[in-house]
Amino acid sequence: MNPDVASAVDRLAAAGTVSPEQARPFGRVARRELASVHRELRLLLYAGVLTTMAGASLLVKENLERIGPLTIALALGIGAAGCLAWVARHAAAFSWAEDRNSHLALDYILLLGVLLLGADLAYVEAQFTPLGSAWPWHLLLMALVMAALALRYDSRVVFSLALTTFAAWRGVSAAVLGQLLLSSRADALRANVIGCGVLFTLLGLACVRSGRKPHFEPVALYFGWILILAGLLSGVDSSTGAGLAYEILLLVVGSAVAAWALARGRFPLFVLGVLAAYSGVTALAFRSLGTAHDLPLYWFFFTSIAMLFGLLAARRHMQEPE
Amino acid sequence: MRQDAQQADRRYAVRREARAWHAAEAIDAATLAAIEAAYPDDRRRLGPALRALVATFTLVAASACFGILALVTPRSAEEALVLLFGIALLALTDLQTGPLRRSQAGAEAATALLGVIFATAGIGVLSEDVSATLAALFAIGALAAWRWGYALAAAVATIALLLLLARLPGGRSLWIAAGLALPPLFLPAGDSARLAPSLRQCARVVAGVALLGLYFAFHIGSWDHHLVEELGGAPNGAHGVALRPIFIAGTALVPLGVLVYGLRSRRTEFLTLGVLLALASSVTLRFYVHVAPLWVVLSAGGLFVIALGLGLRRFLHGGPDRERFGFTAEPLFDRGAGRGVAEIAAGLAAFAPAAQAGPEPDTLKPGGGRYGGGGASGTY
Repeated sequence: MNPDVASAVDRLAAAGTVSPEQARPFGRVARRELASVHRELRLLLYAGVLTTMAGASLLVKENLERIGPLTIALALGIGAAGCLAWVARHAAAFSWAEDRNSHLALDYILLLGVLLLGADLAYVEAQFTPLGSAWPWHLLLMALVMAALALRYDSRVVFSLALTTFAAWRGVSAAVLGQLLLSSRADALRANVIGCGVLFTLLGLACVRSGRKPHFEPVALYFGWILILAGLLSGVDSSTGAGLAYEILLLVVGSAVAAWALARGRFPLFVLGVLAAYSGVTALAFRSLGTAHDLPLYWFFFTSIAMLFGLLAARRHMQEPE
Repeated sequence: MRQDAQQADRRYAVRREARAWHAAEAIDAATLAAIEAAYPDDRRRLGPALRALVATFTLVAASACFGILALVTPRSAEEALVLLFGIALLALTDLQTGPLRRSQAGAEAATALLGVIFATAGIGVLSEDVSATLAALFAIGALAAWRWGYALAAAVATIALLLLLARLPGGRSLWIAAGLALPPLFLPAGDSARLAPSLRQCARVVAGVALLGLYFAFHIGSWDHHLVEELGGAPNGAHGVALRPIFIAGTALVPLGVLVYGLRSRRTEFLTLGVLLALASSVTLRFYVHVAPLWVVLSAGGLFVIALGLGLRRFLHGGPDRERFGFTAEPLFDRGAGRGVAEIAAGLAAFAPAAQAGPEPDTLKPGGGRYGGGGASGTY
């Protein structure tokens, strides 16, 4: 119960700010006469998908000898087909715009269907090797199938999985990003990380420019910039000349992203850009000043204070919704 | 909470709700503007992204400041410095939430968090006593919750209290007593018009953590493995076999009780808690009773949960005005702004596929790769 909102609704209705028809549902929700379990149902469905996939994963791992590969592949395929058929039956007609009235469970059943399909494809590839030495291409194939299904059924969750599966095809994953940040090796992999990032960013911009699935743009854009900036950060190395180039790039690109995002009110992206630029300038400062003695402590103290003052002073120009 | 902060908190609750109505297109922009004019906000607030950024730099600045102070402090006074630094940060929080009128601005939450940590650590290193440290954490956390309305501080204080109780003789019984006594005390406060919204939320959090403690104390696994006693630092000592059925029943009944309470009171947060506890009890059942192979239990359980979700949605949707017994599956005025991001992040964390191996042409062979397209993971 929210007594402040309940009494405010009565007051607003009495003053005529809201009509009695508007006030009735507002008051019912505030007095907890009506409660939405929308979020709880979504949580339940997500837990169901997670648990089912864990079971399917164990099925293929533990029962290969007993059940046989063909039966397992068929079972996974039938499961995936069942999910996708349910989705096809409940989905609205295709549109490039956002579907705001889709069935509560559509995203989750689609996700389950796509995951079962992916597992089936990978299983078939591992058991029967139809692609031979080109087996990593199944990731690209899966990414394309996921992207198509995401577009058709307007699922941002599946679209994000399509992007990560594409990145996995190029050898990029969260674990790989972590390894890259810890070592300064693997230039080819870094190029793949940055390349994927650029591609996803352009894809996001294309969504908006073309007016086709513009609500997919944040997924592609944020994922893209995270990859680009993480790729640049992984190149920071105070002992090499190439490291200097990455430090300068991190500062320049981070600042540009922050400025671009601020102008458009994209605050999470602004934060990403500021952190990248700060990392770049810190790396440059440590390169020229060294990290001996207690310099880092003083550096972090004074620069953080300066950043705080800058952010709080600029607060009036940054009207991020609360 | 200060009087002005309480008033601002009440107004903010109305403004936030009005924005949710507007986002759900239940009111137009002019009505929203009229409501915001009727309930003005005098606090300095930031949105979630900027708040996180400000909090990050505050944490870095405060930690570096402590490092610098530690450099110039004599070794003999370092322990006192920890405590004094914590007290200074708590005072700084009060200054920000009071005269500086900051709320949800990142900096005040960061100084409060570090203040609680440093002040507790200071008492810990000075006293060298775990119970005294837990008592300090309880007191400082409770103070932070009461003074500034931080739900996290309320949760920390309740956890500290439970850990303190675990160290006393009969710790498990005390957990059960706390779990039974605190919710009836704090849940009415969670609805009280006398308290500001943040304090009401703190009261609900205390009740929720106490219920979690009750479940943990009654859980058969925690009973069998003496987990509460281990938390209290006294893992030895056998339990009486005669009491075991009580804990078996408790493992099943506590989630049920929380679910029933959530349904009767229409408190959705307790419904969620009840569902999660019921899931935990189901997993516990699988550990104790081998009903079927794990893959069957997981697959069937997952499909059952999906079917349950679909069935509930259908049941609620079929009622008059799409509601039954005061529940609806419609989102109503739910502020789902961050939900999409959270779901995508959770989806990626759980299902993102492993990357293919690096470009090593000589070792690339058909088959034998990672099975993981589409998110599943595993190897052959």
